[in-house]
Amino acid sequence: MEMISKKELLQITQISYGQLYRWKREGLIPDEWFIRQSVASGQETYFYKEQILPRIETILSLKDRYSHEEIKQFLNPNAKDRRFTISEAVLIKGIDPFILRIYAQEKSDLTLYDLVVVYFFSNNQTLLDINNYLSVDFKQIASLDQFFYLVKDYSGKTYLIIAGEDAVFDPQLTVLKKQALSDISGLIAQELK
Amino acid sequence: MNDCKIYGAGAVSGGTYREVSIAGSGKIKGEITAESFSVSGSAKALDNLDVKTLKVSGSFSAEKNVKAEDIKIAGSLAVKENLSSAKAHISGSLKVGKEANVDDFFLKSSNSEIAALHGDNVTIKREMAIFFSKKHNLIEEIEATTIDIEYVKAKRVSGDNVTIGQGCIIDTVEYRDKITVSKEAKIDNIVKLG
Repeated sequence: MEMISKKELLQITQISYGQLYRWKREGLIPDEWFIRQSVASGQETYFYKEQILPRIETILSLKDRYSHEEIKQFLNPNAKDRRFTISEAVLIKGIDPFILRIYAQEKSDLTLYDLVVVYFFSNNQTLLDINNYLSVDFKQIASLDQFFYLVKDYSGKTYLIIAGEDAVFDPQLTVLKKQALSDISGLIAQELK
Repeated sequence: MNDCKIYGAGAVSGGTYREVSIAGSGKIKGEITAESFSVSGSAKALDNLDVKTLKVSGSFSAEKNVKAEDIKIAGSLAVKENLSSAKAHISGSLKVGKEANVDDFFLKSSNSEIAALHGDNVTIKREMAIFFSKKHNLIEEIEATTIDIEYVKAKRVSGDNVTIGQGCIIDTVEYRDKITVSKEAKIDNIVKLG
């Protein structure tokens, strides 16, 4: 994965040290994402580009409408108390009402995790059929720190795997797509309100 | 929620409290969460501290992390690992073993030691009580939006608006928008950030 230095990050995103460190302090950016490395001039902090850039974009797009505490609820793996009604969920751009209806058959309200799952299925319909996953209990995903991996096996069949950041797969499987759950929850947050 | 008060000498076990106050000398043996935590005298925490307000007149040392919203110290605060707070006003001395991440940071001191100081507004002034002293605050790295410092010895100072006052000895200063340097400061490299 490509890395980016803190200085480059501030330059690209036009945020200040103050913003970066406040978001870190408030848990909007996890401490582990700040990676210290030795360089010729001492120590420098680096980030994984594909992790930090979408996160900053999400925070910037939400910060005027939500409090930091609310943003944290969308991004933080432990904040999952909010419930959504089906009629609220159907208004979210990127959520397919048909997929939502299949998924939510016996549910009266949905958690943020449910919305993230429906969103992912909605946007990958050519590769994934939600009907094959109806028996899966997605409540088991207890964390938005996880990633969706869309993988293809040797026979060309595609599967959804939910795993951590550094998951390693059998070489017979090809990873077609990798997306952080927290990226999707950030997109959903932008659609609400 | 309970309050916990120590007058004289005593020990507190970990837990969640509304108010913890120590007048005299106290030892905190477990992880503490509290609305307010105050020490007049001396206290030592063996585990993490997560409080809204931390007030110390005297000395307080923490073996692990300290997390707060508002910190006021007259005396000394020593944190072995990380210190984080929205605000901190410290006069006396501050020691932080790893990172101090404070939005609004004000320090009046001449013998503080911090590994990395990060925040939004950082102000460091010399403690005037010690005349003719050549002592410095030793801070490896400072990164903040606005920086205004005196008597700091640092490897690297980086910010948008940077004011380097008298008595500073700094290897590299980086700035984005504006820099002001006192004639009585010594800086090896000044770098304008893009």
